[in-house]
Amino acid sequence: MTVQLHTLSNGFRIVTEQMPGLASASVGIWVNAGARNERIEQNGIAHFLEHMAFKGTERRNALEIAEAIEDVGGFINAYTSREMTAYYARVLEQDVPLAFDVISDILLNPAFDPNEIEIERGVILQEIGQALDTPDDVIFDWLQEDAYPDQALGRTILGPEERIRAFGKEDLSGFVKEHYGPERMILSAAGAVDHDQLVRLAEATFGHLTSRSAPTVEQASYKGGERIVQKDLEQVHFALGFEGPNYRDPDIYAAQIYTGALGGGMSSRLFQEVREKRGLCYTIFAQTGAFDDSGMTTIYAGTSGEEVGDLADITISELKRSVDDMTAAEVDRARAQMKAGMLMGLESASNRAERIARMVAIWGRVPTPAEVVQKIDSVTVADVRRVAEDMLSKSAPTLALYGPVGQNLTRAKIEAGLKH
Amino acid sequence: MRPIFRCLAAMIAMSLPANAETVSSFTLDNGMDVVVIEDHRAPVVVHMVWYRVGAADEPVGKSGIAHFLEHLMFKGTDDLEPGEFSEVVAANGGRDNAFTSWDYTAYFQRVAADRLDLMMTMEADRMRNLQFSDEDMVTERAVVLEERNQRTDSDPAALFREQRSAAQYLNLPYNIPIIGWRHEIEALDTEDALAFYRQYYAPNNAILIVAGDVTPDEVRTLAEAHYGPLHPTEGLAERQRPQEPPHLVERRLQFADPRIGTPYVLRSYLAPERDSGAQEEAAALTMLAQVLGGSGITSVLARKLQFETDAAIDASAFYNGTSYDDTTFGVYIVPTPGQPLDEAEQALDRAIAEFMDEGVDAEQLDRIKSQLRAGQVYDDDNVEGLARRYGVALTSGLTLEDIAAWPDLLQAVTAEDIMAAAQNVFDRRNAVTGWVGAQNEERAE
Repeated sequence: MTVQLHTLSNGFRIVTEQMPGLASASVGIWVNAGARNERIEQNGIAHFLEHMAFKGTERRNALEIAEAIEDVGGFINAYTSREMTAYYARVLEQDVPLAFDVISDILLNPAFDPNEIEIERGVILQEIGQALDTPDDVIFDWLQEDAYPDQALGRTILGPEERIRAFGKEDLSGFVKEHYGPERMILSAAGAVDHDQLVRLAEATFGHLTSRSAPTVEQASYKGGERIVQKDLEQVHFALGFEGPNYRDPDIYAAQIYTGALGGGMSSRLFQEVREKRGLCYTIFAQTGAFDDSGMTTIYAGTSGEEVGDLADITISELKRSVDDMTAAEVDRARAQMKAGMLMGLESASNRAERIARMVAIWGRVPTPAEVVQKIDSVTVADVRRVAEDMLSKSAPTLALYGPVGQNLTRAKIEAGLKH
Repeated sequence: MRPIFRCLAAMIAMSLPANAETVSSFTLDNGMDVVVIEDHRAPVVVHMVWYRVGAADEPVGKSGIAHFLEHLMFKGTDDLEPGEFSEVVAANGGRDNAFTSWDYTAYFQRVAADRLDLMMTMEADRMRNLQFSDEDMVTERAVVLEERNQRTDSDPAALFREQRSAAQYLNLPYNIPIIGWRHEIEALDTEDALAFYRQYYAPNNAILIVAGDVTPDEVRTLAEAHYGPLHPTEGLAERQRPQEPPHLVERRLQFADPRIGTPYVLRSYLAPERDSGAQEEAAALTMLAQVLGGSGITSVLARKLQFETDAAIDASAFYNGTSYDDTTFGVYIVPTPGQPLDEAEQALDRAIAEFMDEGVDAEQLDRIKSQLRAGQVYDDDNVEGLARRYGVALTSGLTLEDIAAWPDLLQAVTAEDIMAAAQNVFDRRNAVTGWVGAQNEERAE
């Protein structure tokens, strides 16, 4: 499989990966701008903008955008994260230029029709309402807000209701103007793709844009915090966070192996101790999320109000124990899972397009899978234990609880438990 | 037992017309069916065992036992400690999981191709030699109840689905939730689980599907070695479930739950499923669902309710024909905030009535057919999804021939077929209409 990267003179990048044997392709534009690039008064605009993507351009109305892609049996979508916004399509080999045309039209010539803005405003307000009604969604937003209080990285992607009600055409085009510069856009395609063709198309369509200086991003600073919200729900949702490495930190692989062994799957410690041995929950997992300048390791579980105290105690004891007794067998298992997860993910064209776009955004190049495997392989048991210890000794916990919390469970109690 | 391949030859290989993959099938002496889907693009295999048993096959009063047993299957055997199954899969860089539906229970692992032998060793072991104690039963019951809390009781949409299914099916056991009713889960015991296990977890009730970088000969050698020695359950007959009587009256539900942020109206109609050798009606219904709701922008309901009028923020249709017994065809509308559900239902009915007058737009039908053709290519690029669709179809009583014929049947559906299917399915006597909201609303006279 061949990865090719090309940069236009204005900084616009094209990265492609050919996958022999595939007759379809995934193609999209990843923009290095997401919710954390918003100023406080703009919170929610990146996501609003993504919603407006398929609502019409100067050349096509919403129906024509949908028909253009559906006529050739393709599909098109978009998403917003804290650091990126992506617009992508899945099409057959011969329709890659068409997909490129539709996506670039969306990015370069959005119409922002006032009627469409009103319709999408309603849809986004519904989405916010739904997120609030989905405890296992909203708890992660709270955890993020309390880990990074009063910071861009802590704010929600959807944004607060009052801002969504107020956004207009100027806000949308203002954010595009500020952030959709050529050096922050990456055209990424994987599957049955022709690199030279995409470079030519990109040059013709994006080559005229002038590069602009990127606005500075507010540095993230993990603080830790607590939010306990009592509500009459069926379950208590428990989320515990610690600061972890950012994605350029050499410890990122050790941290990911650590969370894999701690709570990455059915063979992990937390799953075995909390669920299989004691039946305290159905869902429990640990994960490591990384950003440009920070990261967070999170443990989540859903349990009953009476049992959340036990669940917290066992979680604390497993966190402490893993510093001293995480075994080579567990580390090897988590390592094998991590490698397999990465390598198996490479079978899908959409995953590959996403991966190479992210790699270019982070590193300016695409490390080979072999390079990544080598890094995963070089993690030792001592590295994993050190990462576990650093996490507990250097980071204050963030605790979020939502539901019928019957017990006196607080962040202070968890901190005390971790110390003794 | 329905043969999964009607010709019943020892080994048949077929290249499906639109697909690149080669599918072959054979049956072991103990009755276990084996399907091999070759795909040599990556050195990975998906190993799946599908049992022809699900929640709709449970003894009366034992709802949830099929799903409960799926949990217990990770407990251990003579050779494996509890939890060891997943540990070995993970240590070998694999991923494993299991799922239960009304018509099937399935277990799968995805591993490097050279670990297939090991997966078969373990899966064959737990097909007949599962061990669990009363204590395991107690712990796992707590987990399953917590799962019910999380996935059903915490989710008003899931609670409504449960009530709707109970109202939809007058006799078929599809009216029971897969996870089970809480009071029945609480009462399930070791004997219930063991009886269900011994009866249904047998090679002559299972289909092995191996997809990926393997040859049929390799699979045959390994399957004969690992699954071949297992004893079949004697006298296991083809599934016969209580069937639906004629429905004489529409059922209407008003479901109120303060947790519902977005009210909606949903109506489902009893509908025929894909029958082996006779899938035409289901093909027409599949296309009807596409025409009415396949796209959020270009389909009939979206167009009429979201764009030509502003009655809705979402409106669509759904149908899944792959089912062992009768299935449902559904339509729904999520009204624009502030609109009463009564008006929303009327708007939905008007849109469907207009569609019945206007018929199918030829351009739209062409567009849907080209999407389905492209879908074949995408499917072909995802071997795990493909294997899963084979498993669902085969445990729903279809054959490999039926699966192979399906894409062409969809392409052959005409506008007239779709309208005829719509005439048949939109019979209010077969319908359950639900109003779902934070509080009950009045129905205008």
